[in-house]
This record gives sequence, C-alpha cells and structure tokens, in this order.
Amino acid sequence: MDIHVNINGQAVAWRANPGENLLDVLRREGFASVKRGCNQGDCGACTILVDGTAQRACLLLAGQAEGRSLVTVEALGTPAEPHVLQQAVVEHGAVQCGFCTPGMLLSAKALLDENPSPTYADVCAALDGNLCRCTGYKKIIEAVLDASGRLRK
Amino acid sequence: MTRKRSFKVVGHSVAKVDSMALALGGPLFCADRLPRGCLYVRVLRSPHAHARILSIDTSRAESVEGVAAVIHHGNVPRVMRTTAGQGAPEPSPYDFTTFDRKVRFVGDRVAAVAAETEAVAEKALSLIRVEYQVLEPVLDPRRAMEKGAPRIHDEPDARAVIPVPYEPERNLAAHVDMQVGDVENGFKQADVVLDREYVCQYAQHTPIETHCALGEPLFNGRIRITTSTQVPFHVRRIVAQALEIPVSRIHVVKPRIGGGFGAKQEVLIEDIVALLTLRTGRPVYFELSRGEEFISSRTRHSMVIKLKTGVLKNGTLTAVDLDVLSNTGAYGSHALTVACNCGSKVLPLYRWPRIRFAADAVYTNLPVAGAYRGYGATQASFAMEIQLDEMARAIGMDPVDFRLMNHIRKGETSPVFAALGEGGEGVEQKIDSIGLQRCIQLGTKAIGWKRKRRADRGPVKRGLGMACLMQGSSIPGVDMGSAFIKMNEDGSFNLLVGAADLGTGSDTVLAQIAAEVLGVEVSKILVRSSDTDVTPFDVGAYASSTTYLSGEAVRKAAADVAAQIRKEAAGMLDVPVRSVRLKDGRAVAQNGESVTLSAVALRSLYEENQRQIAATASHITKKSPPPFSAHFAEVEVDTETGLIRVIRYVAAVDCGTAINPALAEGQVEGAVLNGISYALCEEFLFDQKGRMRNNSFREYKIFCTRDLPEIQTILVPTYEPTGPFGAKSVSEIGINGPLPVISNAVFDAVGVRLREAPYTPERVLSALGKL
Amino acid sequence: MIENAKVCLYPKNPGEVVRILEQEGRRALILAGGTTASQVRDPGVTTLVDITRMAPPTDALTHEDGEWFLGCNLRIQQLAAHAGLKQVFCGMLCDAALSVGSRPIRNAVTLGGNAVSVFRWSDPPVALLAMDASFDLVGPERERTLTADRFYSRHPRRILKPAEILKRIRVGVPSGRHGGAFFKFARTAFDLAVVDVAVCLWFDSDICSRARVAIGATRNVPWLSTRAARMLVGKRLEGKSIRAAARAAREETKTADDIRTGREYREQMVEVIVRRTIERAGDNALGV
Repeated sequence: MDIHVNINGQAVAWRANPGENLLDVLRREGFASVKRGCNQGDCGACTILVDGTAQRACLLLAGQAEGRSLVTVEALGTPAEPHVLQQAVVEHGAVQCGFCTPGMLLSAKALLDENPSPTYADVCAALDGNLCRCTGYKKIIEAVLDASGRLRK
Repeated sequence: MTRKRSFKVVGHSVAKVDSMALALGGPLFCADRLPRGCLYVRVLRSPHAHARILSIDTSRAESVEGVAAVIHHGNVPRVMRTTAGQGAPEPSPYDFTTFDRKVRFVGDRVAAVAAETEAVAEKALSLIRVEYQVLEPVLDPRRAMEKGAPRIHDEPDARAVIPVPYEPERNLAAHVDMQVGDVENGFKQADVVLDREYVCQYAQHTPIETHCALGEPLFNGRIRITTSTQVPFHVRRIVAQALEIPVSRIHVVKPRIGGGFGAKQEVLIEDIVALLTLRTGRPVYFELSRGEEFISSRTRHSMVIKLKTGVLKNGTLTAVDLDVLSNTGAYGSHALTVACNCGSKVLPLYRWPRIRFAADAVYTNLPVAGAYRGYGATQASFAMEIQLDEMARAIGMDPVDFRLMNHIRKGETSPVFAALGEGGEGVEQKIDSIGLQRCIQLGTKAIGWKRKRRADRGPVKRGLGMACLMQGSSIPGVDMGSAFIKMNEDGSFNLLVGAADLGTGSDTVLAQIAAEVLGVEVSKILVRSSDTDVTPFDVGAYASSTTYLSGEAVRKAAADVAAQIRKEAAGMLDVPVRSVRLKDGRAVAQNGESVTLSAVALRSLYEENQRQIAATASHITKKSPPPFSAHFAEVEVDTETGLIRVIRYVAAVDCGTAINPALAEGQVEGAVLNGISYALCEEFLFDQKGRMRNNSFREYKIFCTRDLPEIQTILVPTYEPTGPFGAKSVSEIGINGPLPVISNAVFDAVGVRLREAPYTPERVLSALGKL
Repeated sequence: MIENAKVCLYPKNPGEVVRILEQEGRRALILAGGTTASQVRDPGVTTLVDITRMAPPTDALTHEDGEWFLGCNLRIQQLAAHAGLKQVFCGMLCDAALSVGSRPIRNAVTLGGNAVSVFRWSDPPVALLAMDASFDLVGPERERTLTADRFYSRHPRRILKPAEILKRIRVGVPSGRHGGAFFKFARTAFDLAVVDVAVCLWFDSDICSRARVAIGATRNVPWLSTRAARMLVGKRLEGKSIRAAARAAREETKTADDIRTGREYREQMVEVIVRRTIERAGDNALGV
C-alpha cells in the first residue's frame, strides 16, 4: 500500500508493505542516517522523531507511520548551517565512531524541544535508550548541556 | 623528563576531522551505499556445539526463486588459515577454513546463501538439510586437557605456522612460559605468601555497528571489498589466501567504522563475501545480526588465573607465580598472543625479583575468543591488582604506598620485556617515560583517598579502591606503519595512511602530527585511510599502535615533505635552506621574508624544477613504551541486594604527550565505562549444550547514560623520546582498571574479596554469605 | 516484519476496532505502540489495525469525582511525566511508567498495550494492581468493567473475549489517609525487572486499615500477596509488622530460575524490596 508521511518537512508517499519495519523502509528510501544496530529496539541507533517524540524505527511498522511527521538527522542541519547540537558534539569531542550519533542527536533534540533547560539528570534520562560503546557518554552529555545553553541565548 | 615545547597543533583538542560529517548523518558507513542489484547473504549456523557434518543437501535452497548461490564445504576451497588479523606469518594457529566438515561451537558456519533479499536468503537457509553426527562437546576449559577429553581439532591439516607449542591432540591451542630466578626460594623468604584463583568471563565488544562487508566485482577479474575492519591490509592478504587468488585481484576499502574494540581485527566475513561476489558476478552484502555478533563474532578470552605472590613485612616483593588458563573457544584466534600479554603487560609493572609465568590457551566448544581492547592485560591486571591490595593489607601497608614503593621507575627495565613477546621472545627495553607516580598522587587526591570514609547509609556501605596499570604501544620488531604525503596547489596536503581509524580519531591525530610538522592548520591535511589500492601499508589498528607507530611514520613523511618545501622556498627567497621555517601556512626565512605554501606548490607543479612534492615513510619500532595509569573508584554496596553502584571513578593516565587531549580523554572514558560494565554485568550465559542464552542487548546488558558514574580523567603528560612529539598509546589501558578497582573498593566497603567476575548482585550477596 | 500484511486500518473509535476484529479474527493484528507487534512473525496476519488514531478520550488523562480516567492510548511517557498523576498514590504509577525500558520505548508504548500484552517483567501493571484499578472493556456484546484482581487473575489475553479490547483504566483516589510506592529492582537502569513491588496502604488514624502488596517479575502476571497484606492490616506500621509482611510475601512467592537471576535470589529480593516499598509507602502516607 502507499504510506503517506511527512519526512523532514516533505510530504511523500512510499510504496511499502504495511508490515515492513519502518527502519527498512527509511533506509531503502535513502535515509542512511537511520542506523541498524540491533533490529530489536535495544540499541537506539535507529532513533527518529515521530510527531516530535524520539522513537525506534525498528519497532515501528510502516503502516504505523501513515499520516505521521518523521524527522531524521538529514534534516537537522547542513554542512553550512549545522544544528547547535551538531556543533556541540563536534566541539566536545563527543563523536567517536559516529554510528550512534544520529540517534543520540534526535533524542537530544526531542529533549531540548520539550525542556530547554535540562539538568544533567534530565539529559541522562532522555538519552537512556541510545547505546554508545565508544565515548562513555560523558562528552555527549556535556555537549547536550552546552547546546541547551547556547540555544537559550 | 618532560620536555616543555609549545606546539601549534599537537596537544590541542582540535575537532575530529570526520566528526561533522558523521554528526550530519552522512552515508559514510559500509551499509549506507549499497549498489543496485546487491545480493544479501545469510549464514546457516550450527545448532550443535560439536558435530560432524555427514551430509548436506542444498538443492531445495538453490531452487528458491531469488537465490543466487549457496556455498558450503563441498564447493569452496579448503585452505587452513586463521581469522586473526595479524602480521604474517601469524602467531595464531591455522585451524580454520571457510567451511569445514566439522562444526565446533553453536553458531559455527555451515553454509552461506546469497539472495535477492535477506528474507529470501533466510527462507533458503531453512531449506538446507544437514545431517549431523553429534559429538560430545568440551564446555569446561578446566577439563579440556584432561585425558580422554573429546578432541576438537582432529583435522590433520591444523597446524602452527611459527615454531611455538601447538598440541591439538590435547586441545592445547597455545602455550607460553618463562622463568626468572628461583621462585620457590622467593616464597620461602616471604613473610606473607598468597595463593589465589581468579575467574573472569566471556564478553563481547558490542560495537554498535555489527560486522558488515560489501563485495563488488570490478574489471579485469578484480573485486572490491568495502568492509568494517581494523585491518584492511590483513583482510586483503587473508582473503587472497582463503580464495587462493593473488592479492592483486583484491581491493579493500575501509569506510567509517562503527566501533571495533578488537572485534574487527579479524577477517570474519570477508571471505564469504568475496567468494560469493566472484561466484555470482554481482555485488554482495553481508551484515551480522546482533545475535550473530554475540555468538559468532569474537569475544574476550575468559580465563582462570592462579596467582601466587610473596612479600616481606617491609613491603619488598619476593616472588610471583602467574598461571593462566585461557579459553580460546573453538578456534585459536589470538590464543597465543593474548596469553603472552597476560604476562608481558602486567608483570613488568612491579619489581619482582623472581618470576614464573605460564599460560595455556585451550580449545573448547564455545564461542571463539579473539582480540579485545586490553588483550590479556585486562584479565591479568584483574588478578594482580586485587592480590596486591590483599598483600598490602596483609602487611599493614596502605595499598597506595605499597604500589608507590614497588612500581617500576624510569631508566629501569624488566626481564619480562626480553622474555615475552607476541608469540616468541620479546625485546629488551628500558622505561624512558613514566608518570605513574604523578598519576597515583593526582588520583589519590581527586578521589579523596586519605580522607575519612564517607558514612554508610543503613545497609548500603561505601568503599574506595585503586589499581595501577600498564599496556604497550605497538608490537616491537613486528608492526609496521607507513604514510604518504603529497602537496597540492593551495598549500593543502593529502595524507594517505594505511592506519585504520575505527572511530578512535586516529585520522585526526595523524593529521595533527602532519600539520604540526608542516606548519599548517589541520584543515589543510586531507586524510585518507585506508584503501589498499591507494594508501601505503599499515598493519592496522591494534596493539595500541596507531598514534605511536603510524604517527611516527607520518611525522617522518611530513619532515621529508617539509625539507623539500624549505629547499624550494629557499630558492624562491634566495636564502640558505637552514634559515627557512614552516609556519602558519608559509615558508618563513630568518630575515622575515616569506612565501606562501601555495606559491611553493604552484611553482613546483607548474613552473620551475617541476615535480610533485611528496614523500613516503615507514616506521617500525624497537620498543613498546608502556603507558601507565592509576585508577580509583568509590562504590556503594547494598548489602541486602548485593547491588554495587560505582559513584565516582578517577582515571589518571600517562600517555606521553596527548596529541589531542579531548580525544585521549574520550578513549579513557569509553574504555573505563566499558570496563565498569564488564565488571558489573556483562557475561555470556550458556546452557548445558553450549548455546548462548543471552545473545541480545535485552539480556546482555551494557551500561547506558542512567548507569553512568561520575568519571574523571586526568592526563599526566610525560615525554616518550621514541614517540611522535613524545606520544605513547592511550586507547586500551583504560579498560583494565575497573575489574580490580571495583573489587578492591568492595573489599574496603564490606570486607569481602570478589575474585570472580562479573560482580552481579547475586554473586555479591552470595560472597557476603547472605544467599 | 509481518510479511503477509496487505493493509493497515486506522479505526476512529473502539466500536470500529471491535467490528474489524470481529470480521478479521486471527488475520488481524492490533498495533498500539508497536513495540511488541513489530517483533511478531506471523504469516497468518494480513490486516494491521493501528488503534492509536482513535479519537479522544482514548488518549486522555482526566479526573472527576475522585477518580482518574486513563485512556488506553496514553503513551507510557505521558504517564511518567503527568503532574496530576504524580499526586495519585504518591505518584507510584508515574514511577512505574518511568521504569519502562528507555525513553524512546516509553514514547511509543501505550498504557493499553502495556496492560494487555503484559510480560513477566512489565512494570505499570504491578502498580495498577496495587492501586486496585478498574479496567473498562469494549466488545461485541455489552461493555464490562473488571477489577484489577480479575484482569490479572491470568494473562489478560485470556481474559479478553474475542474482539474485545481495553478502552480505559480507572483509578480511584481514596479520601482518607493513604500512601503508595513502587519500586523496580533491576541490574542496570535499562534492564527488565528482577523484582517489581507496588504497595498501597490505607489508614484509619495510624492503624493500617487496608493494604495491597503487588509483586511483579516473578510470575507471568503480577499478583497480590494477600498474606503480606494480612500482616499489615489492623496494626500500626512498624518494623516488626513490615518485616513479617515482607517474609510472608517471600513465602508466597512461587518463581523459577530465569536468565537474569536464580530462584532463591529472586525470592530473597522479594522480601527485601517488599520491605523497602512498604516502608516507603508508609513514609509517603505520613505526609498526607
């Protein structure tokens, strides 16, 4: 069937089996920033925004995306104008292998959209579904806190 | 000696060169740009821990629409080799072939299918009929060498290719031993002798990107393999070996890597991809599922370590006897070298006058061990540092003072360096840089070691623990790294390196080294790593070698290019060469006159004395200078539930000059959290038939943000004269601390010694005698 | 991947869902948050039924006359963060909601999905059972309401009749002195529970007049330790009665080894966590 979604601000219709995992559809449609790390909802590498909330693409079926507004990291910033969060993770050395980064950034964006002044604990709670094996999380959390400060200004 | 020199680029936390592209979500990984018409691979895996394949029928699978090829032991070459991505000839035994007639662990390869979709490939797998003769498995490493134990490698062509002990008839994959002095006499002299056993567990690296590789047919019968690997040149060599085709037919490209930690120092899936690419003439993509990553990738060697030590009441060490039983699983990947590192990366840290060390690596019918960050030092430090804590307390000394008294000093050597190498003998070396004393001092202060212990909260008790660590920096006399640099019209440079950045930031560190020498900003250095058709050879990212070894190759190549530029500029400025310095993108003469590097490049490319300013350099090393580290932790132990919570963790590390302090800190923080997670909850659980029961992140827990303790990293600068700008390694050492540090802190809190990891609540409560 | 799914339907109200389920029977698969359904591999399923598009009040959280109405389509994260709900039984349902998985999971999972597709380790159902919630069901016949005790007397999927769905959950707020607490004990923050305990206590001055001690992660569905409750009722809440209640809960626990812990350890944890949760519920009550 045709699945109608708004992806990164654009209205599109995807030909898909409604029972396919949304992650597979997104990758097939070229949204390579949505990563497959476990396919079981445990690692968070495929985190996207669904109507503004961070969710796992691998735990959604294509049919569930109908009529929803989806955001991937492709829409967060551009090389000329990166998002403050992207700037912050780069400056804080919070990107190591970078495989978890897109999902991490979207969880962080959802947090800052909802709570512009998060505490350290708020950031930890918002990112608890995004596993990272490289950084020990410290610099990622610091980057998100720094970005929240810059966004408030 | 700390050589104070101000650097423009080195020593600064410049942004990682690939980090913005990654943060923008660019298609930089292997899976991100699969060509049209790509076939997908799935592998049929053994349901038995130990069995012979009596017959295999793939006819029904082959007839499924969309199946392009099915391969198995009957239709691929049998070439015995190792999957370990090591220098040739490898120290790991040749006990593996693409598909064998025998399976040796649950998850071992039986057959592979390439099909139009993963779903079709899965369906085809389900139609392959295999008749097994199930054999008795060996599931307990302690019984692997017993008389009458089933023999796992009974194939006649399994062998060692360097002269080392290898006795598959008694399941011995590797053995190493050494002795210095009369150990028994040392124990006789001692006031206190401790003899303890330590057990540490299977664990997996869990890179968030699993192993994946893409094969593509090229012209002239060549194939390109784009693969998530730490060792692109070893992939090329070993795939050529496995397929019995020349190296020249294989082109290996390493894109961005989603983490490796040693798991990708292994040629694990590329052979299948290459075979299927050649057989089908089509692009072929293979990605391990998370479940397969746990079961069929590589793991940390689980070990049983017996440690006997003697000490005088005044704190003087008299003797050490370290006896290691290492479980290498079904194949001997890294079996020997990990065993060697148990001694060579741990015993030199203290001044033992008498040393005995022996390690056996045994085969079992369990998942295959391999390289994992820390590489034996993790396991042996666990035993040694807990025992040192116990020794210090036994003679009434503060564990910090005990270590300060006994650790190796600058200018000293250890007989272990010469006796133990990576498989064979080692290389004699003395310590030219060590900041351990300073690490201990700063760490002691940061954690508040001398202050009164914080009050307990009811059943929750608090304690402090510490440990000291060392590692190495590359494999002396074995590893080689090289670099090629050429200059472009705008004063930028292409830096081509075989060194494999797997997310660690080595591209950035190497760019900083080149930029420092060439007097330019990092943005002027365009790094390409690694592409076997384009970049010069490098053994790859392992053995804590890239910054120290490949970095020195880069420094040498950059120095050569700088000399060429200075010569050219001297001609342009009409001044002697020696008066020209490179600075801020210009060649500057002593008299203040200067030309831009761009002008130099344009002249050499288009005008005068035309040629490409470029240089290549290689580097090997005669030593492996250890980084040193002191780790401290404060923990809480809930004596009713057994739950341990790490509250604060301090890691002070001497990595020589930190070329990029932020990236160095990141290496430490990542390693420490991985280590804490390993110490507290990571383990493989097997059923009675050798099947892993918890091969998912749902049941195999790794720490998330909400588990994170406060981690403080303290970089203690020293200057290693043989490293680029004084640098040593930093990426592995940090993972060795948490196992002993947390155990020591738990003892401090509740008076119980944990010598078996992980320290799960259940195990802790049991140790407390409450279960 | 539901490989044979042909269509996904988006019913606008519970009645429509019921009609679709009546028609399609086992060919239909309900999608709420999707976290469970997306892992299903059932070749017999051809029709997906996304019930999250049902009109309000299925996604509303309201209260009236001392009772809270929780629509089945509320996301777990909405429960976790709801200011009003934090006042109900001292916020124990918020705590239970916050214990679910990780943030992206909480954003997806619905209350109804969590309550009906209950797993051994599910957290919110334990709190709902302790709070004595009511479950409003809609089916082909008349609507009916089940008590929590009945709803979790076995797996809710076996309680629901064919084509019947959970529409909303109701939680009554007692007028007198009362307290509640929820505690999840797990190995890491993002792990399934080793033991979940939820306790609600009602008081008549300082005498405990009613107690509900619910325990999760030890059986297929959460259960009430009636013996623990009996040790508390009619007494002042003090160390001795609390310890006796915790011991009683342990004795009543029938569980088995699983991949996370052994049976004996888990039973011992029931005692520890029940004791701590009763203490916390008691402390919470003192403030009211």
